[in-house]
Parts: sequence; structure tokens; C-alpha cells
Amino acid sequence: MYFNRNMNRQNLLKPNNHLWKLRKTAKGGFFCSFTGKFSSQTGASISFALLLFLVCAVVGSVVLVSGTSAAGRLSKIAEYDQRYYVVTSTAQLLADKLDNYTVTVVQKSEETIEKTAVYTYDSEGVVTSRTMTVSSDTVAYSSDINGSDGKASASLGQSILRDAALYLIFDPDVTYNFASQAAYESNYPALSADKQITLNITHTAPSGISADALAVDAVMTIHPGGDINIKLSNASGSANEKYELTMSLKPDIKRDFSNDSTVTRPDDDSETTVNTSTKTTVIKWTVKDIY
Amino acid sequence: MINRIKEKLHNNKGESIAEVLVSLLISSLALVMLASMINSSSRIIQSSKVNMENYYSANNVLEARTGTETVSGTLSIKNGSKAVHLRYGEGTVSVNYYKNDKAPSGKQVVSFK
Repeated sequence: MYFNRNMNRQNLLKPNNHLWKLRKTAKGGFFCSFTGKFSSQTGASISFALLLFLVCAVVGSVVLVSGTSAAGRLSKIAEYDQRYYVVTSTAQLLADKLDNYTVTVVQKSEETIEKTAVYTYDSEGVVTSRTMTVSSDTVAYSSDINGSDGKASASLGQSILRDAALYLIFDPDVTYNFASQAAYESNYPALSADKQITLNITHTAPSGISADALAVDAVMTIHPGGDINIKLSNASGSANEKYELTMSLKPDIKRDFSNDSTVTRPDDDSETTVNTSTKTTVIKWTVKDIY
Repeated sequence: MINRIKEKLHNNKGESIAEVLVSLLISSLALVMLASMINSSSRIIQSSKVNMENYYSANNVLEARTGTETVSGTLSIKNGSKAVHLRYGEGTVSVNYYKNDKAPSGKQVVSFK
């Protein structure tokens, strides 16, 4: 409020004096008051004090918010780290278990030819000829997966890489009976396109540890050449929250084919020939990369 | 607008003592508020820094998976409802868990081997 020298008490009560103007502008709202203040000839200490208050409040708020957000970030970091450690731990465990894992597939065909001597005699009962004729000819087929796995049937699920070998050498759907000719005739590479298998890795964790947070989904892709990619990601959380990691396994495939023939003669009139054909495929996977 | 501000600054007309006192009160309140906000923020940042150091120090043990305070459990793999062994004859795999309890707001970070 400002009193000039010419102002007296009566002037103060007139509608056109300064106080009156201030009241009028105050009724018109903040903006009118603010513009009125600038157009008036009185002081502006309160305006500048309010302006300073506003600036201090804004600056203080910014400083405080930046400080609290730094503290809040740490709790988010723990969540991100948990997702990272679950996936990397799973990848490390799989790598330890699958590196240098060897699967040996032996496909065998065994033909057994039994011959017996057939004699012809003349009228006096003297042997005139002796020929060995085939009395039976049978073929038996067998296929084994052994090596690291031990001998086992064709069913899936007995080990991750054993399943991969079954897909690579036999029918992609692995429906063969190992004692069939079809199983013997199957060859690597049986796959003509990538084969994907979805795996869910879960934990039975002790109390105090959340098993849900440890669950990992894996998609194993078997390529026709034998390369395997296993893509790991967190089972829970939205797509953009999940940590993803891919492990690639490279195969070393060795194939061997051999024939063997054994003739046994239990007596002079019988002969058994066993012709064995053996196809051996040895696949050893090594962890090539984790990225 | 600029001209009016300049005019306002250059004129030599006075103000009442009450107006000056109120202005001073508002200004000092603003400065005290700013100072306390900066101080609080500084303390929060310092505390956050200490928490962060403790957390990462515990995470180093977690990363190496050599911590002494371990607990064990099992891991299993399924394809749909069908169990899949990791290696032949290993339906479940025994694992050791390593915990970091230093994360704020009760969160826990776990790795395993």
C-alpha cells in the first residue's frame, strides 16, 4: 500500500483510490490482480515474494523427487536382477548338464540264413549229389540308444538331447518301433524343417523362496543339421519385463556303417549264416554360445 | 510487459511496513522450505547410496554362487504335462539356492547352481 503526499483520509474512501482498485482487482481473480499490480504505481514486494515462493517450491520439489526416485530405482533393480539371475542360473545349469553329452544310436539288421543239406541218391542208395538249400531266412531289426543314456526304448522325455537324437535320426514324430525295418532304415538327417519343443522348468523351492519367481520357460529348436538353440525366458511377467537368453549347442556327428558275416556249422548237414549290418551314429553336443 | 517490469523496478515509490513484513515472511518461508527439501533429498540420496553398496556387495556373492548360506531344492522340466529328464535317469535335479536379502522393501534376489 502506498500513500502519496496528496492523499488524505477522504481520498482513501473514494472508489478511484488505490485500496479500492486493489479490492476490485482481487475480486477479478489472480490474473487480474497480478496484471493490476503491474499497472499500479504501488510496490510489488508481495508479488515478488510469492514469485520467489513459487520458484523455491518448484526447485525444492524437483530436488526431492529426484532424490526419492533414486531410492525407488533400487527396488526396481532388485526385480530386474532377480529375473536376470533366474535365467542365467538356469542357462548355466543346462550348460553344465548338456555340454559334451553324447548320444549313440545303433541301428542293426540281422539276417539269419539256415541251410540244410539235401542229398540225392541213385537206385543203389549211393549219394549222387549234396546241395545245401535254404530252409529259413529271417531278418531281425533292432535300434538302441545307449552311450550316455543306457539302452532305452523309443519313447520321448528320457533326456533332452536323447529326444533331439530321436528327431534327427528317426521319424520326426518318433513313432517307430525300434524292432521294425522302418526304424533301421531311418537315417540322419530325418528332419526336413526345424522342430520346436516347449519346456517348462519349475522348482520345488524351500520355504522363504518364491518358486514362481524361479520358473523359466524354454523353447528348444532342433535344426535339421543337428544344431540346437534353447531360448530361455522368465515364466512370469509381461513380455517386456522378461529377461531372455539363448543357448546354442553344436553337434559333432560321426556315422559308421559295418557288415559282418558269421557262418556256423553245428554238424555236416546244417549251416547257419548270420549277416549283420550295423549303422552307428554318435552325436556329441557341446555348448557353443550363450547370448 | 518487459517495459512495465522495468518501470516498476525503476520507480521510487514506497510500500507499507506491513507489506514489506509479509513479503519478508513469505520469502523466508520459501527459502527455509527449499533448504529443508534439499537437505531431505541429500539424506535420501546418501541412504540410497549405502543401500546400493550393501546390495551390490551381497550380489557379488550371489553372482559367484559361493555363498555359505545356501538352501537346497529341486528343479524339474516338463513338456506340457509330460516330464522330461535333463539327463537320462535324472527326473529332478538338486540345486542349491543363494539369497541376497539386502534389497530394499523386503525384496529377495535368488540365484542357484
